[in-house]
Amino acid sequence: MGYASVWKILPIVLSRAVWVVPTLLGLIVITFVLSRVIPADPVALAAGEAATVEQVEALRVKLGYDRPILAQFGTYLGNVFVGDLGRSLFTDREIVEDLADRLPATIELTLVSMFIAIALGIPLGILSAVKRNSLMDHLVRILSVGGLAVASFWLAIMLQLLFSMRLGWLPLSGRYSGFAPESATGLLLLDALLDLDFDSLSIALQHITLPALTLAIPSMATIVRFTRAGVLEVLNSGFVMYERAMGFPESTILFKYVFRNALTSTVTQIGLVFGLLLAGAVVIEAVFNWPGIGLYAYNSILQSDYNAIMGFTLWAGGIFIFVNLIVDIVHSLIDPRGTA
Amino acid sequence: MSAPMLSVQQVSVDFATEDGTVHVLDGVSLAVGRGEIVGLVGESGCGKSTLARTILGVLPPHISTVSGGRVVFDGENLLDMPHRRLARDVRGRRITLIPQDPYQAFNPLFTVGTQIMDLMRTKSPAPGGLSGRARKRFDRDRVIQVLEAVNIPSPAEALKKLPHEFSGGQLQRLMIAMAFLPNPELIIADEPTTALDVTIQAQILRLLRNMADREGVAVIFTTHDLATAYQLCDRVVVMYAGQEMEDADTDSFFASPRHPYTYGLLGSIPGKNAEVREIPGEMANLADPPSGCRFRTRCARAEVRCAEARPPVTECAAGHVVRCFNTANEQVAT
Ligand SMILES: Nc1ncnc2c1ncn2[C@@H]1O[C@H](COP(=O)(O)OP(=O)(O)O)[C@@H](O)[C@H]1O
Ligand SMILES: [Mg+2]
Repeated sequence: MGYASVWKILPIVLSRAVWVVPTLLGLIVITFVLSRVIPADPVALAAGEAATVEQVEALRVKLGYDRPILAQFGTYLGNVFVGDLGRSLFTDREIVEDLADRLPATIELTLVSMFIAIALGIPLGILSAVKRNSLMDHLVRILSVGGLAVASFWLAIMLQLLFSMRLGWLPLSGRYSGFAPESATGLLLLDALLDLDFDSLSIALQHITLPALTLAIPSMATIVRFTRAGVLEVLNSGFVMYERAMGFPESTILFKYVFRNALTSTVTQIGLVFGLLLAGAVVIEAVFNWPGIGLYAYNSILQSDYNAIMGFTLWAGGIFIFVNLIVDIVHSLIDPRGTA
Repeated sequence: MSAPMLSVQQVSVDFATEDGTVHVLDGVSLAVGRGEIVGLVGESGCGKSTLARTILGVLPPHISTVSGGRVVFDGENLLDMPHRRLARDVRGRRITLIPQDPYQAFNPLFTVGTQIMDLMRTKSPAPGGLSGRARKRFDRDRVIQVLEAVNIPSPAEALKKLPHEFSGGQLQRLMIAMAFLPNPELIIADEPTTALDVTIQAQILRLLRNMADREGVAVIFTTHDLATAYQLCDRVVVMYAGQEMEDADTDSFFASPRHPYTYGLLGSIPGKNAEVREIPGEMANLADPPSGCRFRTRCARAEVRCAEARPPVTECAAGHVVRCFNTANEQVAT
C-alpha cells in the first residue's frame, strides 16, 4: 500500500511531457534573439583583427549572417531539429561534437554534486527541524545561510589554497592525472567501479572532491533550508497532533508520516536547485579547469563564440527541463492525490 | 459514590507566548464516571482543547507548562506517568481522541487504511495470545466491523481510498471508528461536529451517542453549544476563561441553572426565549486575568469577595455543584 502505482501517474507524466516541446521551442527563440541583439559583431570577431572590411563582409555572406533575421531563424531551427547546432566560429568544429566530448565530465560533476547536496542536505534539514533550537540546529542554520551567501569562486580558491597548496591532500585542478583510462561510459567514476579498478577510482575521486563539494554547497544549503522549513511545518500539522494524541510510536510519526509530507516540498526544490548547479558549473569548472561544458561555455563567452554559447544554453535549458520532468514524476509518486 | 474513572483536580496550565505568559487553565476540576457522557461547555478560547490535550499529555512542547493539579485516571496520576508508558498504554488505547477537524487529522498522502492499520498495529484490543496471522485476521475483522458500525459503506473498499476522496461527514465517521477501535474506556471528543456541515451534525452526534452507549465507553464531549450538550450528555460542566463554573446532571442543569454565567449562556441560545441575550463585556484576557472568579468583570452580581478568591464549590442540589457566592439566591438576575 502507499506509493501510487505507475498507471495512476502515467497521465500526469504525459501531461507534463507535452509541455517539453513548446518550452524548448521558447528557449530556442530566446537564445536566438539574444544572440542577435548583442552589440558585438561575431563575424568581425571571427574574421580576426587583421581582416579587411571586404573580407568580413565576404565571411558574413558565407556564414549567412546577411540574410533576413527570420530566414536565419528558420535555418537555425531546422538545423537544431536535426541535431545540428552549427560550427564554432573559432575551432571550426561542430558544436555538437564539442559538447558531446565535454558532456560526460559535466554530467559526472553535477551528479556527484547533486548526490552530495541531497544526501547531506535532507538529513541535516530533518535533524535541524526535529532538534529545533538546539546547538546542532543553530550550527546548521548558520552554515546554510553562509553556504548561500558565499561566492562560489572565492570558496573554490580558498579550498584549493588549503587542501591542495598547503596541505597537499587533493589535486589542484583537472579531472585525472596522466592519461585517463579508456572509458566506456565517459564517466570515470562509473567506469572504474565497473572495472573494479580501484587505483583509477581513487585518482578520479581525489580530483572530483573539491569541485563537486564547492559546486554542491549552495544547492545543499537550499535543500537544508527547505527541508527544515518543510519538516517544521508538517510537525505543526493537525495529523501529527492527532497521531501523538493517539499514541502512535514517535518513529512511525517521524519517519513514515512527517518524512513523506516534508519531502514533497523538498523534491520540488530539487528541480530549481539543479538550475543552481548548472549555473555554478560554469564558474567551478573554470576555477578547477574541469574539462566539461561549463568550462567550454566560459571560454565561448570570452571569445563571443555565438554558436557555442547558444549550444550551451540549449543544452542547459534542455537538461533543466528534463530534470524538472523527473521531479514532477517523483513528486506525483510521493503525493498520490494526482494534482496534475 | 465510588472513585470516578477520571478526575481532573485543580489543573492549571500556562502558555508562554510572545505577549507573555497566558494563564489558560486556572485550577480546573471535573470528574467522569465509567460510561458517562460529560459535556464540557464554554465559549471558544475558554480552554476546552487545552484541557483535552492536558488529559492526553499532548500539550504543545516547550511553550506550555502544567503549573499545578493532578489528572487521576484509574487511580494513577497521568501527569506523573513516564512519557513512554503514557504513549504506549494510555493514549490511543485506554483514552482516545475524536478531533475537531477530521480534514486536518488525516495525513493526506496515505490511504485511510494505512493510517487505521498503523493505529491497530500498536493499539489493537486483540487478546494477548494472538500473534502473526491470527492477530492480522482479528485486526482486520475488527476494523471492518467497526467501520460498518459507523455506517461506512463497503469498508474494505473505503480502506483503499485517500482522505480527500471522502466527505467531511464520512471522514468524521472514520475518526469515530478509530476512536472506538482500541476499545477504550474514555473518548475525548473535542468539538467533533464544529468543522462539519450543519445538516450532518445531528447524525454524527447520534452515532457517537449510540456507539458510546453500546460499548459502555465514557465520553468527554467539548462544545460551545449548550443545545448539543443538552441532547447528548448525561452531565454538563460549564467553563469560563479556564475555570469551571457549574457542574450538574443535564436535567438539573437545564431545569435550574445556578451560575450567573450559565444564565447568560442559556440566554444566548437562539430561539429559546425568542430574543438573544448577549453577555455584556468581553471575554477575560487570559494574559492578565481577573483575580478570584474570572467571570466577575462581566457579572451583574459581582461582589468585593469575588475578587479576593475563587468561590468554593457549593453543592446546591444532589449532583449539582456551582462555584459562586450567590447560589443561595434561586433567581439570579442577569
Ligand atoms: N499553542 C498555543 N500557543 C499559545 N496559546 C495558546 C495555544 N493554544 C491555546 N492557547 C491559548 O489558550 C486559550 C484556550 O485555547 P483552547 O484550549 O484552544 O480553547 P477552546 O478549545 O476552548 O476554543 C486560547 O485563548 C489561547 O490564547
Ligand atoms: Mg478547541
